[in-house]
Amino acid sequence: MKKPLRAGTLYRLVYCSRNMIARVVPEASTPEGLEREIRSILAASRIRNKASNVTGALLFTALGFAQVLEGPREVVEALFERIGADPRHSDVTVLSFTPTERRSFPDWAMGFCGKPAPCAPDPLAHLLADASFGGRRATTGSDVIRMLESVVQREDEWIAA
Amino acid sequence: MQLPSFTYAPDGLAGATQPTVRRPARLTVGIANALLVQLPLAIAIVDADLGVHYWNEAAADLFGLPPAMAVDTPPLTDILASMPHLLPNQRDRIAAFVRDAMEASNRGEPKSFLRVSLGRDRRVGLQVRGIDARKWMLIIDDGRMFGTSARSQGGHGDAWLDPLTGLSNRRHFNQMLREMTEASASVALLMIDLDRFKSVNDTLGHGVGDALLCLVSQRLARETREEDLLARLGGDEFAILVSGGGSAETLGDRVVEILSRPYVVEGQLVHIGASVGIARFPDHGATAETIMRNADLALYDAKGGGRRMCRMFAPAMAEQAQTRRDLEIDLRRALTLGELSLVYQPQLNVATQTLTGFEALLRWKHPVRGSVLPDVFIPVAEEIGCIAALGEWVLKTACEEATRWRAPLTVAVNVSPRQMENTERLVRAVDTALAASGLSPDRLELEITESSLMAKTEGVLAMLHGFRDRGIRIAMDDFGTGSSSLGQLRAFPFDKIKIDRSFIAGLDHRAGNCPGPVADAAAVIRAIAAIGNRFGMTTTAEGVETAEQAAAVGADGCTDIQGFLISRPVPPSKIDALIRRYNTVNA
Repeated sequence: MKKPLRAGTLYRLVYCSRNMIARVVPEASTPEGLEREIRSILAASRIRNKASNVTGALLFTALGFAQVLEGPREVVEALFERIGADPRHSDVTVLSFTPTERRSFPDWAMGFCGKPAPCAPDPLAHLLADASFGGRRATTGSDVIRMLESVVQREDEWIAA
Repeated sequence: MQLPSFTYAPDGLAGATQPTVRRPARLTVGIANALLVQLPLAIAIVDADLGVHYWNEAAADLFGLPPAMAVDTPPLTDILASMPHLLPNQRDRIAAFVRDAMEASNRGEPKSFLRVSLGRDRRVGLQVRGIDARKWMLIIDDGRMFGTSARSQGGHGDAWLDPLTGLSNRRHFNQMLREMTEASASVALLMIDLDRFKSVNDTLGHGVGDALLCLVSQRLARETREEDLLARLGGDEFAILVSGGGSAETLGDRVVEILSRPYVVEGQLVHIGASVGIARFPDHGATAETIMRNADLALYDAKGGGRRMCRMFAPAMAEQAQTRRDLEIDLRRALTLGELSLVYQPQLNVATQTLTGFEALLRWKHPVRGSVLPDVFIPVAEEIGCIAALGEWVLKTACEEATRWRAPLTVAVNVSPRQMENTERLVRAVDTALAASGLSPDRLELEITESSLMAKTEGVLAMLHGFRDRGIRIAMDDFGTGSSSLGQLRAFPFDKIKIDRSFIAGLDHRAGNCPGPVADAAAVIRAIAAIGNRFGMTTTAEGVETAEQAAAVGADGCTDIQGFLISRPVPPSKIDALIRRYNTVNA
């Protein structure tokens, strides 16, 4: 049975994608350049997401991105439309998009694993390999949420670092 | 207005006695000024430094300037900078275009055109024409001529805009393509078609479909430059006119990629794809019509190539299309000219070694091409929409010919997935064929393919049950080649499963040292036969060519066989001989 959609219903979207920053933004081919690019993405999204009541978690690695977005349905849809079409990543795979009772990440959080001393192994390697085989067998949205909870730092801590 | 054809009377004699003679009014400066001021087309006169010397009312309205002549000559760049909705890169683009166009007009080159958006809902066309060596006329058309724009009537929408997406509509697109080709500007046309959009509309509703079309438009708008024209031609069909045409292929690939990314809309996760066909002017055609047709051919090729693809037009595509058109014309005639006939291939019961029935197969003997195979003409018939008529002819002929057989064996008729889409017409065709021939319904068997059941709507299942209730047998054809085969078996109680010939051919490696595939094919056949036996269905192995294969499928549990081992398909005149040979008890 299809329930009527109530405006402002809380939704959670989880996706992963491949990192294409270096291909699109030549300055980001060095680790420093990449970090600068990511800081600027973060700074812009921080202001926007706070204003629109969106929270979540974001993991950058050398390979890709995994992100959880939580907020009112219309806002999450519009935000994902903008994020999804961004040329700085590819193979965007939505792992789940469902209504939710409560937020898993009530504070906007983010993790960054692409620095000169990268986490080894890349925590996204398995996820992206599965997603590009049309998978969703082994990897579900809740796996990603658990992984993000374990690796992300609070955004404020990261910004301050 | 028609000019008087006789000479003018001398001035002194003009008067009431010659009321029909009128002089055409001379174009005085006053009249010209009035014309220009009130013309509902924005006009401004600019000098080489982009200083604006004059503008009419429409231009004042467009640029937000005072209506009267200004005391000095404000630079165009300042005027553009004062427009609140114009982005900096759009300002630069307009100024650069005007400078280039001024130089081009001095060199006597053809006039070019810039489509630009002056903020929301204000898409205008811009053109520059030379007045003299130091003055140029800037003409800006915002579609308000003659009040065709709904905006000037205070409402929403526009005669040039698609109301749903706000993109240009087909009418505007056609005009722009014509203008660009007539101006001999080099241009590339991208025709874009969404894959799987119809199923989104059908399953998730038009609300989601419309919202999706808006997202598609936005993604396309982000990929196109201001000077390109982006239009929705209707339904899920879009087009881009790339002026200069330079990077059309890169753009085409990008469009396919970006439109294939996932969408979340109205609480739904949606995946669609896109196919793109490109044709260039003047390389691929001399007129707007040819370019349109050739871009469509390239799009058709992209879709045929497996979708999610971008294809550039190639002359070979036009030749293929011509061949197909010829085939179409001939096929439409074939029915009336009696070039079609049926041949029949017998089906043998393994246990009793007697014939149980014949499958009717369609043949087309073309007066010039000779025999045309069903594999070639059936897809064409399905596409041009004459498959229903063809299917009706087959049903009628098969039923009628079967009544003349010496024994009441079944006659199996193939039903195309396209025929299943119109259940009413198919039911009528079956009724007519049975009524006209007087064939008992339990002698008719309809062979349907797995793909017919992919969209197993209530209507299709109800129709099949209706047939079965009347004694008509339903067989699942080519079993094992499609996907989710086992699920299909549960959807409907089939009377017969026909195991696809590829599995029987797979048994042929038995002689060689290739145990893997043999074991696989045999295992599949055994499994299908077991399921068939469990549900009381006949299982027919197709394409049986050797006694060894017959023995193998028999041992694997198949009840019936069909193939060259028993007989090739034969004309109706040879049927009784076959029945006599196998079914001596009935003879």
